[in-house]
Parts: sequence; structure tokens; C-alpha cells
Amino acid sequence: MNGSMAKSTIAKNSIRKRYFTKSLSQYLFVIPAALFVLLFMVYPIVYNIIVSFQDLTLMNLRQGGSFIGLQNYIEIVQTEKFVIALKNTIIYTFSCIFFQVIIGYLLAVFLNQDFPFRNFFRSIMLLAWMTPLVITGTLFKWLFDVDYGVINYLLTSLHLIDNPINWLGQESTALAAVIITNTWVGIPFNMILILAAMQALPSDVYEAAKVDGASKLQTFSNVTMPLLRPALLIILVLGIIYTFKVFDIILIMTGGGPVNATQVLPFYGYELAFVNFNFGASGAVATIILVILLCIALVYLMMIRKEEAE
Amino acid sequence: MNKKMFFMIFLSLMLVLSACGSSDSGADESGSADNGQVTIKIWDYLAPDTSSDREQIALMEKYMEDNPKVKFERTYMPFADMKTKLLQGVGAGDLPDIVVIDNPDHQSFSQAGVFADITDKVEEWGEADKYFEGPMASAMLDGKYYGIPNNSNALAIYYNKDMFEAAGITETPKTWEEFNEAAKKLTTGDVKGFAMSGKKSEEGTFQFLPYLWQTGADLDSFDSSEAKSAMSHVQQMVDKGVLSSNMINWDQSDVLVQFQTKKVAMMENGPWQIPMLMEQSKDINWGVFLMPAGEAGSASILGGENWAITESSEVKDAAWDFIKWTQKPDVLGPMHELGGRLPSREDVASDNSYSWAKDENMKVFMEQLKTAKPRAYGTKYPEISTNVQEAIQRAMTGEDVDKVMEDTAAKIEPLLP
Repeated sequence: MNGSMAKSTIAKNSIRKRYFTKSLSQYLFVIPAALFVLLFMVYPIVYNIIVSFQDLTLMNLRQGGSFIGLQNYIEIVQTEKFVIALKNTIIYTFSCIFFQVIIGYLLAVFLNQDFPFRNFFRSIMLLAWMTPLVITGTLFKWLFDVDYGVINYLLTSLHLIDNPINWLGQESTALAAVIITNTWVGIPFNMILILAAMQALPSDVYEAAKVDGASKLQTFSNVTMPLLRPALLIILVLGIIYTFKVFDIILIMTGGGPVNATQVLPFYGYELAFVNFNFGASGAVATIILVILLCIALVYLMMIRKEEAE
Repeated sequence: MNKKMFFMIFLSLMLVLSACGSSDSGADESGSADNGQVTIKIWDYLAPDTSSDREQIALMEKYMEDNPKVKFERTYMPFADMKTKLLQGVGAGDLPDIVVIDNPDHQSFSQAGVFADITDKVEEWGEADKYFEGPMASAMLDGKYYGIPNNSNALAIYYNKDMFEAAGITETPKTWEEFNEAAKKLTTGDVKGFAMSGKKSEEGTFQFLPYLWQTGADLDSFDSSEAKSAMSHVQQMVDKGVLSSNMINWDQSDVLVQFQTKKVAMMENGPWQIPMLMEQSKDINWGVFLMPAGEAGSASILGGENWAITESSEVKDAAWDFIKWTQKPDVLGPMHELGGRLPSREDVASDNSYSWAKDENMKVFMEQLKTAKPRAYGTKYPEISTNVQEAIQRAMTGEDVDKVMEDTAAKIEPLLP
């Protein structure tokens, strides 16, 4: 009895050992990536959260700020600018994603058909997405210009408007102009993702639908949509997270202005830290953005789990 | 088993981290004196291939020739990145020895302990009284010296002489009324009378403050009727169409482009645009005149760069020797001439052999410097400026000036020293 038990433990141990040495090399491969994530992602996020509870300004940057609890959050949430920035960020994110996905989808349907030079058009569409935002932003700033912008020129020569619109110079249109710009930038990316998902769809279901006499609309709502759903969900969540973090396009096109018409949360956080040197408050804004994005990611995870359960 | 594994990972992480740490501290030798050889690290935002960049390089080369034991390590960063980089430097404890800083930021960073108090050195040198008051004040905090002003600039009005002639204006405007009248006459068809920057950045505040001072108001009386009249003055130019409503999106380079493409007849800008105009716009017949006087007379705004030595520098003496050398009249004069910049030293400024005494346009800026005020509003100035920018934008997009000014005054008040 004893002998066999000892034997089995030894056997177990050696299995463990073998397993360990085998997987050790695998863990070693993970180390560079883990280190990178720890140093450049986890550490800054943790540091940012710590700073958001401190009274850290330029004056005490060298000594480190004192702990002031939730005061930064309370003060920030009460400012008029924060409310405007939050509202603008939400409007911006959802309208950009809405138009990007819909137009992207339509283009994907178009480019999914067989016609000459199809691949050429597919790749040329991506140019808009590959162009650095600095260039796109500057170009659109000129296009929207009130005195010599092409958009105003077209609209006035088509007699759609009488006087040129100062797109970026008035509060009522500035956000719309930035949304149009970013929609233009984001369409190709959405298109390529949706196109890839479409091409992975099995063709036999469509044939079956055809045999059953389904109309185009029925095919779309009963076959294409359910099949595309998982891919679309990922595209939506990635898009929302990516768009929510808007910064460069605002900096280039409007600087958050006129007044606060295009003030968004990431830009507000930047202003607090690097213009007003109020690092604590800026940390609070960054943490709020993080929490919002985490919530969106959680909703996504829940939806995926539900889908898998079904 | 799991615990063991985590321990292993943790251990290797620690090893790597500590290795990083030690190699870092071992490699950090620059900035310290090493067998008589001194390396001075300089940070500045003088953009490559500009005339000021040429001056900076010439200064370092000349100094190294005369002092073979000194070596320079210069790092250029764009203007917008300078403050961020300095802040990161403070956080990481890795700062250069000398910083070239925009003068309105000098006090904030001095108060933060970034720059060294060099009062002893400046007093021993004994030439501080040779500088103009405004620039010198920008390098001081609580009566102590934290740097030396290097070059100054001020805003004045550039004008297109051909357009003036075509509009039948023979004399440059000297008061607000004359200016408004001229601007109205110059506005025809595609061409606007005037251009200035109202951007939501420091440039917007920089371009607006002269008008505030010309009325006799200041930031601590932002809701006074004088201050309101300054804002109305600019707002009315937009309303009447002599100034494009797009000015709230223009920075000072955009304003220059408007002038260069002959879209405007006059612009508010600084002397650093003179070399640009001379090189790129030979087709334009241009000149410069002083900013028109308001009720309280003429006023302009002081800009420019200061030298500062960092508190953490280990070669403060060598750095000071270099700065002192750059300020010698026979070095400063020719070098600023090369860089197209204006001196902050009275004796150099009044020396008749240099371009600022001979060139007609430079002379105007030299004259304007006399009425130029510094932005010395304490360490919360950046936040004050943000509020002023917002006020400009609100007024230019058509909000009621009285309300804008009163709102802003309430926001500025607690931020003033």
C-alpha cells in the first residue's frame, strides 16, 4: 500500500515537473510582452488613478501632491466645461460611429460584388484611413474655410445657401464639421472589416434562402444580419472606444473652440494637465474616460456571453 | 505549482527591472564635469532652418571654438511640446542645464523650483540694469533673478503699401478711429482690411491684450467699461466685415499667410515675420507701423525668450559663463542681427551700427518695444489666459460683450495674484 502510494506521488511529481519545465519556456516567451504591458500600460494607468486623488500641480510636482480623496472628481464634475465636454464626446462618438458603420456597410456591399478593378478600388478607399490625421485635419480645415473653402464654394454655386457658412467658426456647426471629417476618415476602416466579415459568410445559406423565395430585404434581415452580428458587435465596440478617445483632430481643427463647441473629454484632460498644470483634475478626467470605456467593454462582453449561451 | 511559477516570473521581472535601473544611473554622465571637460545640455524651441536657429547654432560653435573644454548637447523641441517636456523632465528628474523659455512661462516654472535662483551671479556680473525693464521683470520672481532675457519682441501692424495707395490712404493710422476708417476703406470684395489671431491658444490672448491695455484697463479690471470697449472694438471689426470671422481659428502663422496671399491689407504680427516676408514675399510692397493708440495711448505686448539655468544642473557655473558670454554687446549685437531678433539690452538696442537702428521696419518694432508690457500675472497665468481666450471666442461668435466680460472677470479674479 505504502509503497504504491509513494510511487504514485513520485510519478505525479515528475509529471508536474515535466509539465512545469515544459510550460516554463512558454512563460518565458510571454515575459517581454508582459513586461511591456506592465511598464507602459498598467503602470501609467495605476499612476494616473493615484494622481487623480492628489492635489498635484506644477508647484508641487517635484515633491508629489497630497492626498485629497475625491475632491478632484467632485470639483471637475461640477464644472460647466466637463458637462459640455461629456455631452460633446457622446454626440461625437455616436454620430461618427453611426454614419461610419452605415456608409461603410453600404460600400462593403458594393465592393463585395464582382466587377473589374474591384481590388484597386478597395485599396484606394483605404487611403483615407491611412493618411495621418494631421494632414486630413488640416485639409478639412481648408475645405471648411469660410472665405475660400471648397465646400462653401460648392454650396453657394449650387444655390443651396446664399452666404458662405463659417463651419469651424460658429458654435452651431463646428461639431458637425468635425464629425463629418472623422466620419470620412473612419468609413474605409469599417468598410474593410465588414467586407472581410461578409466574405466569410457561407454561400449555401443564401442559396437556400433563394430557393425558399426570400426577398432581398428578407435575406438581409434574416440571413445577413444574424450572421454578421458578432463581427458587427466587435466593429462597433472597437469603433466606440477608438472614437471616444478623440484628440488629434480636435487639436488640429478647432482646439476645442469656438468657445466650447468642440470641447471633448480627452482634449479637456489635456488642457487641464498641460495648459493649466492641474494634474490632479486631469487625472480625474482621464480616469472617468477609462471607467466609461470599461463599461462599454463590459456591455460587449455580456452580449457576447449571451450570444454564446444561446 | 502556480505560486512557484508566479514567483519565477516575479523574480525575473525584478531582475530585468533592476538591471534597467542600474544601467540608467550608470549611463547618466552627461551634464557633469569630467576631467575638465564640461558638457552643457540645452533645450530650446527654435525651429530648424529659421533665422533664430541659425543664431543658436552660431553661438554654440563660436563658444566651443574659444572654450575647447566645453561641449554642447542641444535638443530642439517644437514650441507646443516644450512645456510638456519640461514637466516630464521635472517628474523624471532629468532636466537639461540651460533652457530657452518663452517669457510668460518663466515665472511659473521658477515658482515650481525648476529654475535656479541666480541672483548672486547676476549681482556679481552687475549688468542687469542695462536691460529694458519689462523683459527683465519677466525673468524675475519676488525680487530674485531666475534668468536673463535674451531677445524681445512686440506686436505692431504690418500693412500692404500698394493697397493703401489704391485706397487713397496717405498716412498710416495713429488712433483707433483712424484705424477703423482705414480698415473700412481697405475692405473691398475679396480683400479684408485687417487680420489678427483669436485662436484658442496663448496666441489669441497675446494678440488681444494690447487692445485691453490701450484702453487703460487690465486683467484685474476685465469687467470695466474700458475693458468692454476693447472687446467691442475687435467685435465690431468682425461685425462690419473688415476682419474675417474666421480669425478665431487663425494662429499667427495663418495671419501671415492671409497677408502674404493678399487677402488682407493689414495684420497684427511680430518682428519674427520680417525674415519670412523678405524671403518669400518679394512681390508685396509692405511696411510696419505702431499699434494705433486707444484712450490710454499706445501699448503693445512683450514677447521673447529668456535664458534660464535649471535647479538640478550640476554645471551651473559653466552654464552661467556661457549665458554671460552671449550677453556681451559685441556678441549679442551681431548674433541677434544674424537671427533677425531684437535685443533686450538697452546699450545694444541703441547702438546705431546694427540693423534694428537702420532698417525702417525693425526700427518700428524697436520703438514699439518701449510701450510693450510683459504678461506678469503670477503663476496662474496659463489658466487666466484660457479664460481670456474663451472670452474672445464668445464675443467674436456674437455673444453680448457686457455679459462675456463680466462672466470672465468673475472667473479671472480668484486666479490673479
